[in-house]
Amino acid sequence: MALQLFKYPFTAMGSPCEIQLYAASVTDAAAVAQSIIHDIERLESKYSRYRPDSFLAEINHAAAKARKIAIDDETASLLHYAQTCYEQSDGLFDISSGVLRKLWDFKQSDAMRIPNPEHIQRVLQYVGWDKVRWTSSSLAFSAKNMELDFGGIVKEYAADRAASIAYAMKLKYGIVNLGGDIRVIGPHPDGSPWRIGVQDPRHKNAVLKVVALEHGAMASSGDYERCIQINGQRYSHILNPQTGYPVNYLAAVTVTSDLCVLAGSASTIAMLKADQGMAWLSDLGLPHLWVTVDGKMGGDLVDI
Amino acid sequence: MAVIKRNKSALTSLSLAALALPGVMASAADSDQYSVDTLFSRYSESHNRMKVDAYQASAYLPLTDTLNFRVNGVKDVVTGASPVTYYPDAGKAKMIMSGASIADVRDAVDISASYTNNLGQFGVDVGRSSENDYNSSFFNIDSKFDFNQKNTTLALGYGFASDNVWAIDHCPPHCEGMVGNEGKYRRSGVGGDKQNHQGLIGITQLLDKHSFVQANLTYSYSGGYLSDPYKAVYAPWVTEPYPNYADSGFMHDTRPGEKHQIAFLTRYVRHFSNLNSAALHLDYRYYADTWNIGAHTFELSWNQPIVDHWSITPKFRYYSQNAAEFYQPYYTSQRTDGFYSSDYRLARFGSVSGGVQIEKQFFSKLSVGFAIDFYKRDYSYSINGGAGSSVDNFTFSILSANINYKF
Amino acid sequence: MIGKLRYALMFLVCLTGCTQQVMPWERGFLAKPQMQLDTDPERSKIMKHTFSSKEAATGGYGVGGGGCGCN
Repeated sequence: MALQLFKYPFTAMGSPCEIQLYAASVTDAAAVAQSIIHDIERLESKYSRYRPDSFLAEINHAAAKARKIAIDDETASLLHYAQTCYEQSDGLFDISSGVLRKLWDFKQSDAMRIPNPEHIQRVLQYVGWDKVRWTSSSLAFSAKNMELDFGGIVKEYAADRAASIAYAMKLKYGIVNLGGDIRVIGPHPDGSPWRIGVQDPRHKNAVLKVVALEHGAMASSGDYERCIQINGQRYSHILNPQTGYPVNYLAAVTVTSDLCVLAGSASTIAMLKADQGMAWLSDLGLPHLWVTVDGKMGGDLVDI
Repeated sequence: MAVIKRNKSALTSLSLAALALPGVMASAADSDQYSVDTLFSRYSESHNRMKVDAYQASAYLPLTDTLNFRVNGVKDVVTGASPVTYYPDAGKAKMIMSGASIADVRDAVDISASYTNNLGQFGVDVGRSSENDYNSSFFNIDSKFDFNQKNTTLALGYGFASDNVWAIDHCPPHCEGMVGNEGKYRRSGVGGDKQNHQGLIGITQLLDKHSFVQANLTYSYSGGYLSDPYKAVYAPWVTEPYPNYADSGFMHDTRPGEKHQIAFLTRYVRHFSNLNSAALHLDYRYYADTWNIGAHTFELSWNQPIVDHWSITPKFRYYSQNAAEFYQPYYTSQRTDGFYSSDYRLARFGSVSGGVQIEKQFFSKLSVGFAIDFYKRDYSYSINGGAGSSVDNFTFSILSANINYKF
Repeated sequence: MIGKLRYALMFLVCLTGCTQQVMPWERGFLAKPQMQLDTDPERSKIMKHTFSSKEAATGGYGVGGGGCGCN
């Protein structure tokens, strides 16, 4: 039975997305694509910080008032994953740090206004995973005005779930790309890998390297293009939850792994670790690529 | 050194947490796969009594993630002899075996379907077994419900079987008291229908991340012809001939027309991470029925993974039962209730059994295994009471080989 | 027999007291093949069939299966 390639581009979670599937017929492929898109839409309406009726909005209403809220298994598992990332990053990966975003206006990268340090200190009172109390069925906060943001996990999680949906519907070959967070379902039917161009972080339209993935995932953090300048120094737009300031040193990180959630959080943690990020990545043992704010590049992904 | 060790565990911690997210898996192998399991076994009893070669196959078909099917088939080829009756000789029981060899083939097939939704898991199974002197048609339904974030599971099930039992002989030479047509001669005066109803309630409870227990209570009712049409009892007051076997002094195995039984089974499973993920399985079952049989079964097995996807599993079993109220190896006087049986399975006895299984897995798809089991039945091994005889002591061995394939 | 059933009930009630809640992400060990109640379904079938053909006690593991004229 000859398999054909079917492509499904769409927009979700604020990014251009695409599913490519090999299937025996367009009906088979469409059924899988529809199930995947349905699950992504479900996750978006549940955890989007832009939707006033999302479950995340309910969580943040409770967080604002330091009230307790009941949660389901999926949310508890995501909190457990966020906790593991917090522990493995020495407290730098912190999903309660979203409230710091209001302080910094990243839309204009030049003539950046630095917020008042006292203002930063005041907002830092509302940040801290140690103030989040969660169990497998409930979530509570020990301070008011807090806010959680699953943005650093949900897109990659959706990509991994997309692969599982494909497997459950007996599809073995394909790839899912959610705005740059990539998860391979399976290689091309002849066993050959997907060739994924890693964008040169310093030049938007240039491809730095082509990575061959037969299985697994690739995710990136940071964006060299969106670096900001403060007093002549370049910083990424990712905020350190302990200082309240954007991290400097690394501008972008790309990691490959078996799972997209893993690749995504590894790249984010590396960025947050700034000048120690490169050593952390090489000790972690996953193939990776890093770019500093000065344009220097390294990592073992470059050599594949 | 310390930094490297810490970061190997960084990748492990993150990976474990990631794999625990619902619906996240690293490859297709982790989701439900079609599989076919096959097993061949050879059973042989001591003293050249009975041999059974069994061929089993089972196919598992996960159609969707909520609905799956199973088809099971088995063929038993039975040869050899088995005890028919007993008689006293200077106060001790002596056995009379069936003269001509038994040669029987049993075929059984059953199909089951299982459906899962947010209420629970529901299954139905339908099947039929037939051989030259026995038919059984059966169905059962089962359900499972999870509570307590799947830490507790309640199982409820019901089963029904309708069986026909009769006895056949070779005619010639044994033609007296036989009815039927060419090739299929049945003994008259024995055999009949019986029905069995069974209900089960069970609870499985996780104790911690390394262990869990299960407790099941089963109640069963059988009604109809519950005797063995091939067996006879020594009854010296009988003056009528027993067709093809004796002029007098014997009568048919005659058991009550009803039996109620309960079985209470407790199971414990424990994981040992510092012993290469070995698992201990302990089972204890108490059985009792209205024929006054009580029995204890104790089983232990130790599943030990060794290198490179090999595993070895030694097991041990102890069983003890007391005799049915109306059982005797032979009778010297009549019973007021009219029930008589010398079937060795209703006697007081105990048994000790042990075995070992070796299994090897290839590429998470194919697994091959061999096992050998030995069993010894002995009148003196019983901790229960009642009548019995050491003439019924025997041993058996089972050699088995299996091939399981996932695709 | 009633006495034995009473002990069984007490045992079941005790279960809820001496357990730790296992979270979904802690089920790795319990999911291993050697930790399943029935690690080898085909072999269990033949063993249970053999034992119930040679002994009086049957049942407890699940419902069903048909009978046979095993001697």
